[in-house]
Amino acid sequence: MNNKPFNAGLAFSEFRVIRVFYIIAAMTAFFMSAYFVVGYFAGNLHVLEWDYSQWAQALPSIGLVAVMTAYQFVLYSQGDTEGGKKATIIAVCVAVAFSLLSEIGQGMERDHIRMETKSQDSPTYKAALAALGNLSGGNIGASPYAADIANAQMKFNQCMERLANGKEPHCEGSKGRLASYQQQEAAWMQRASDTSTNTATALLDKTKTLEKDESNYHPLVSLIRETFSSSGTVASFLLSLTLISFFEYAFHYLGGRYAATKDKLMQHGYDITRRLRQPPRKHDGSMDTYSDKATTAPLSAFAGAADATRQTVAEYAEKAAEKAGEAIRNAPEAIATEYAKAQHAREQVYQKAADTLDKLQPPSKPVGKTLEQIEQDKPVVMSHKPLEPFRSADDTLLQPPASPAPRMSVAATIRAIIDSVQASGATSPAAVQAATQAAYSKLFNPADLDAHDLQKIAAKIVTDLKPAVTGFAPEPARPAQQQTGATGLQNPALGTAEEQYSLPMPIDPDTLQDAPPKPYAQGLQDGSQNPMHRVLESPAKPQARNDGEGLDSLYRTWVSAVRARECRPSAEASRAWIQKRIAPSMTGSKTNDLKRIAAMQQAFFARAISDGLMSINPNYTNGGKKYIWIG
Amino acid sequence: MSLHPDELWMLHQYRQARHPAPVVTRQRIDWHGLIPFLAAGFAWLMWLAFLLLPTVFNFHYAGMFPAVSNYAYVMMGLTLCLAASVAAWLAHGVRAIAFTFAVLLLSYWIF
Repeated sequence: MNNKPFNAGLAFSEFRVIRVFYIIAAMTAFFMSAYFVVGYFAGNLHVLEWDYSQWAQALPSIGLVAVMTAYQFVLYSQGDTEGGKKATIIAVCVAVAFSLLSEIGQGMERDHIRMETKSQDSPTYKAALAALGNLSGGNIGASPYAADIANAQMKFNQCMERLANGKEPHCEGSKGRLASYQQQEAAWMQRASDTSTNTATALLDKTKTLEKDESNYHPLVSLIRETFSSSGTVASFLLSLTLISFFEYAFHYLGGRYAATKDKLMQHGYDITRRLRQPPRKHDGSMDTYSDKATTAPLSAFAGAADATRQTVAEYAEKAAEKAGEAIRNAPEAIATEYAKAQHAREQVYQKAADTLDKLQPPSKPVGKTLEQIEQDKPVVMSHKPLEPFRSADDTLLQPPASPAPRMSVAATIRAIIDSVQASGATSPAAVQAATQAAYSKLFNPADLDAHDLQKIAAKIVTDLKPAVTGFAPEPARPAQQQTGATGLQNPALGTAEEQYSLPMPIDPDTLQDAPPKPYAQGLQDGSQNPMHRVLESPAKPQARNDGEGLDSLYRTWVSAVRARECRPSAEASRAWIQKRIAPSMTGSKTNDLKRIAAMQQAFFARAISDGLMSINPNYTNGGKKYIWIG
Repeated sequence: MSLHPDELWMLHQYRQARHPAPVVTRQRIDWHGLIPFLAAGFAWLMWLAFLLLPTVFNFHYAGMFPAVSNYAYVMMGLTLCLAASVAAWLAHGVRAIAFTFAVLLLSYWIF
């Protein structure tokens, strides 16, 4: 994404999207912290049921959380702080610690709720609770002595009635029986009560355990608890810490992206809002707005650079404006200086040319020579205009000025310069430049070329020089994955972009195979796509062709050899045949001119195809003949 | 090495025959580059299925917890999904996968 060229619209859109994400993250952080902190301070989160004291607790806690979240928001939106200052570290620790604790508190509370709810929903806990209820009701059952006591009581009452009528002497027997039963019942009740109390106590303990059964924690909490042999609370803390750490890092990450997109806009001179920012009033009471002064850029454009130089934005902007103004004020002087230098160089060249010309001119004749004599003595003077006699004030003939010698044509001048530079053996750009100047200055009456023209000529000479020899131009190379039909060489200076080089180019015989063009997936759409048509319908060959020259002769010899079956019409055989002719002393891969041989072979094949002596085998398959010899 | 003009001319013809039309390079799918985007998509799916829908429709054990707490964690999952998407967008593959893992953990833990 960063390698793409900057687009202000896209960058601003990206900035706004990230800003929305970042605000969502900040709101979430506020919500998470507030849930725990406010609930802690106010006692619960049933807002509608809060009384004044709870509101009095809740409002400051909301403000506290809001401030801390805003603090985090600003802190994270500053991006990565360099240097790790103490204040920054402490600030991050405070912000992170507060949010971590408050958010972890909610997570732990959630785990607690889960464990408690599940525990209290278990059937075991419910049965224990019911049993405890029965015990706490005090029902220890009917006394086994109740019937005996009732019977003894009845008999004791009857005895007392008869005693009152004088029919019984005493009732001690009945009374003793009743007392005995009552004592036994009391003893029984004591025992029953003791037993019930013990049972209830045990049941209560059991119920309490079941009410918060740690085995009902979340499986992840249980895993941590068992792994570290810790309590459920510690395990819950560790799990919540993990989750909240991820969230906090996401919050921080979005803040960093927000800062990056903001800086990207700023560094390219853009503000982060479409609204017009209005600066405050100055000390003198004036108000300067951007709309009034269109040339004033927003200071925010200097924010990044100002921060880097540890200056305020206003200070930096002022200094930058001073520098820019100084450069602009000095611009005419710089331009004039450059013009003067160019003019001086031009005059120097003219002066040297004139000196050279003067040396070649015949010595001046004395004054008083007749016009006829002058006309006769001007064999070296070639002018389109007839000479006119110059007369002085007393009407005497004067020596005419030297007529201008014929100027060289531009092409001849350039040719002469190139020859001179090549003869000098200069290879580096500086040396070529100097040699070009020297060659031009030595020319006799050359075409009118200025310094810029000479620079262009020097550049052309440098370009024409073989890069491997000069060593200052990047060596063109084939792409790593050269494809058949690709455009050719790759210039390292251009990266992956390919450059069309003017011929000649070094030819790699390994990559230029003699395979016929691959068939098109959908066939040829029209005749113009057929490469053979292009060859046959190619423009006229250069007129400089000379049948007597060696290459043409070699080509004809090769054709004759193929016709005589001395050489097979294949690439390999033809290359071997050519090699024997141009480098017979070397064999195989030791030939130091393989590229040239490959180029010649390809050229021969192309010409043979063009001449109708050869065609590409349309039914070619791997291992078969690629070319068919017709002639 | 410089070729003779005849050689250059024939080589020119040869090149015309060999390179008849511009080559259209096929762009292959960068599967490794897609992993962060797949992770981010998975995070959104989990957030929807295990955080948002259970909270809105009271699925699973959502009723066990206070609704405010549930929605707080839905927003937390949303933040993690946004961070995963941004990380995938910026080709921060490790971060994208880490945030997706956090959503996975949260989805499993929440209810």
